[in-house]
Amino acid sequence: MKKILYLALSLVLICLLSSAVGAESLTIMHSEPPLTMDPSNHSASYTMAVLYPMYETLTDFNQDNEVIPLLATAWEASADGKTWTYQIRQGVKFHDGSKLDALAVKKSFSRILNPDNGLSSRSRFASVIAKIETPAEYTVKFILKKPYPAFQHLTSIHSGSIVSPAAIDKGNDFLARNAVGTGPYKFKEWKSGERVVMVKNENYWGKVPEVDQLVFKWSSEKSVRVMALQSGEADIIFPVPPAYAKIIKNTPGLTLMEEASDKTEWLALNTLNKPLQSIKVRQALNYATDRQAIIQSLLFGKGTIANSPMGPVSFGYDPDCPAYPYDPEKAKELLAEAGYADGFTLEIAVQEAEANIAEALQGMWSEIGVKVVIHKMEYGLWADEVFSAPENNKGYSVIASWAASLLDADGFLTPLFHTDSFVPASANLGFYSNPEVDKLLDQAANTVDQSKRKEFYSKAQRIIQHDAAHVSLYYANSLAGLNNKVANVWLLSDMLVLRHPTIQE
Amino acid sequence: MSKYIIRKLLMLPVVLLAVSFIIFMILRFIPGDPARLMAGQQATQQDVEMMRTKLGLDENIFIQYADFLQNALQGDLGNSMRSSKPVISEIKSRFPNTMALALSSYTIAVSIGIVSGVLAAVFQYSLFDQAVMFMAILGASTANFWLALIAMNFFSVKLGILPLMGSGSWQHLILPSLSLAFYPTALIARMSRSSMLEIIRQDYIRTAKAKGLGAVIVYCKHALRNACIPIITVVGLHFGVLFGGAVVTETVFNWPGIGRLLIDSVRYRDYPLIQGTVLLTVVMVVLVNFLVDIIIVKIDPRIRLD
Repeated sequence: MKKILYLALSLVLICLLSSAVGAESLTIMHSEPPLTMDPSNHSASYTMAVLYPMYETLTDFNQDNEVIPLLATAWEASADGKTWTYQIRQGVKFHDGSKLDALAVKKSFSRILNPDNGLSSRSRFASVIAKIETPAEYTVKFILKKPYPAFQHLTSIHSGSIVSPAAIDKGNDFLARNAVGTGPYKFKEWKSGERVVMVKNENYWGKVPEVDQLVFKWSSEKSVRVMALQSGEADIIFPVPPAYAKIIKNTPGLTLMEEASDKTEWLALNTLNKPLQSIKVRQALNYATDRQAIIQSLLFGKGTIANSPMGPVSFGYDPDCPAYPYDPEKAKELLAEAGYADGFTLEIAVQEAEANIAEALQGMWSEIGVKVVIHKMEYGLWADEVFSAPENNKGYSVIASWAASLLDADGFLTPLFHTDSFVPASANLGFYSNPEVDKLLDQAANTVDQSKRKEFYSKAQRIIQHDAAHVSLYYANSLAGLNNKVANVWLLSDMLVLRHPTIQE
Repeated sequence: MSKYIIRKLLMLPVVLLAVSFIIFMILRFIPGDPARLMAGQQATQQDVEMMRTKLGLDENIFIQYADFLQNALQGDLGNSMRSSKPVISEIKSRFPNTMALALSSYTIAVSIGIVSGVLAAVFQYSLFDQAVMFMAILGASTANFWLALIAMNFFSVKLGILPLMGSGSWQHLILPSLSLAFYPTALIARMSRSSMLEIIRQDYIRTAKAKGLGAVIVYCKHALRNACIPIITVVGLHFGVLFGGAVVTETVFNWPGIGRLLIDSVRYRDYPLIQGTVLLTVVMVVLVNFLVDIIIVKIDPRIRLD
């Protein structure tokens, strides 16, 4: 017994000694841990938010989602939209002292493009970029495979972050555990299961940050995140579960930050299920869905009805795309016209966290005679099920959400609705196919004229909406909780953005 | 005794080999594709295939196992698929935390559990006995995450005297170890009471009392020594459970231990990390059982292991 006590005591002491906090520091608490420190090998918005203060891209999105200069000072496209020339900012140093120049930029992109590295964001860049040239010390030329009008969006997304050439030489495993960028904060440590700590970069090319240290932590427990904010153990929490929004709003000293998000929640109707091949049936389900009730009950009002199959923040979104009103009578008529007056059975695959949406639909659709069978699944199982090719696919309709980090319709409509995107190739989960839509999406992707692109995308959205490929449900607002002393932090779609946070007394 | 120890120690590698094979195969047959989960929902099939090759998942499963075994024998359990950190170092960084939590909550559970259980038995049907049994039923039937949340809200948010979560100081250990101790305390108290009650009705206790021995000596020396054999068995068994199963407590308190590591790695089907944590848990369970056997022999000379 005595021995055990001594052991316990000494272990406690070890824990005590390993603690280290100090200086002016901000603690941010997310719901998920970061997956990696490699910006080009993941697509998780919480991982992005952690890497964002440390890594920078050639161009960036501002608060209004417009593209602005960052590591590139200027850029231009050739008339045919196939050559993009970027002027690189001079006098910028990476955290390890390496110099930022055209060669470093080329090396960083070449790492992504090289198939041997097997990085998850490769195809996004490799499908567009044919060649990179460095005509001058601070000039980089991207020669594209085809005109790509949203290229400045592509150089703004986090996975195109510029990585130190010296760090690249240390290999991918090194970059998975360490961050070496040009950002205002330098990587200090990643203690798995605990925290990621970064300290301010005194040699930052821009304004040196005011806050000395950022600490990212995470807890999957919603109530714990809220308590952390209340007790002062976290200065920022993201996301805030809608059920707790009111508590934070009403607590003195705390602020609730609320922003429209690009994240679109939907049910992909699987056309392998025979009744769902009929447009009328799919429309009927859309009419039978009381979206406002779902938003009220599940989101506590913190969201808006999805009027389009794509997110409202991305370029190309059509705010006038008509939403389906709640009209169960009309739904019944349509079902009868389609020959399913007595209803049919629809099976839904859903992850546990979103099962309440499926249950809401189950209730609403039972009123028009549609029987919903819910398959609640753990994440890995769900991904196996919904990404299976037609020959193995069980024909489940799928509840999921989508947000395009590209903030462009191309990152939304093409993967979800193009015929070439049938799973498992990409994410057309319901095998929706309309040649007209395919043509519009292809045209838009090959046009440089932004107003024309907008037109193409608007048409495509309206057709998809009319065809009712999805039951588009809602855009949930992004909610963050902040201690009042924190400033200069904002939400961009579904990501918490902080590069230059400040603390006010 | 020494024969027994040697035999047990020789069994350990065999047990580990069998467990490693079972775990390795089960992981690869359960649904969930690590390549897809790593690449993310927005990845194209091409990305996923590339990831699969990179993770070495396109090889024959038996070749994969042979590779794993060969590396494991050299002390290399591979790298976490997700973070690329070596599995050994991931476990090493978590192990002391789990140990600290397990030992501190066990110290609480064993001391409070045995003392209150024994006293409850000695003063059977007293108010104290009834209070202890009430607490024991409460402890055994209260969900510990619920208790944890209530305690966090009270001590950290309302009073602000204890850290809410995380690790780093002994104060951080208080709430998680108390909430983790709740259930085993109840279990041990009930166990101690019932096994003590059985013993104190026996003839030799009556004889000891009749000889005029003091109550403390009778109960603590003569009775407890016999009563504690079932208690130690339960404590030992539960320790193994606790070691791999403090998942909920670790999650709620953000305690960086083995349980949370396991849960996170299951979500992403991080095969090497799951294998590593399960193997470690097996080693711990085997060792604790082994220790329990030895302690019991020490206490009760009638029991022979050989």
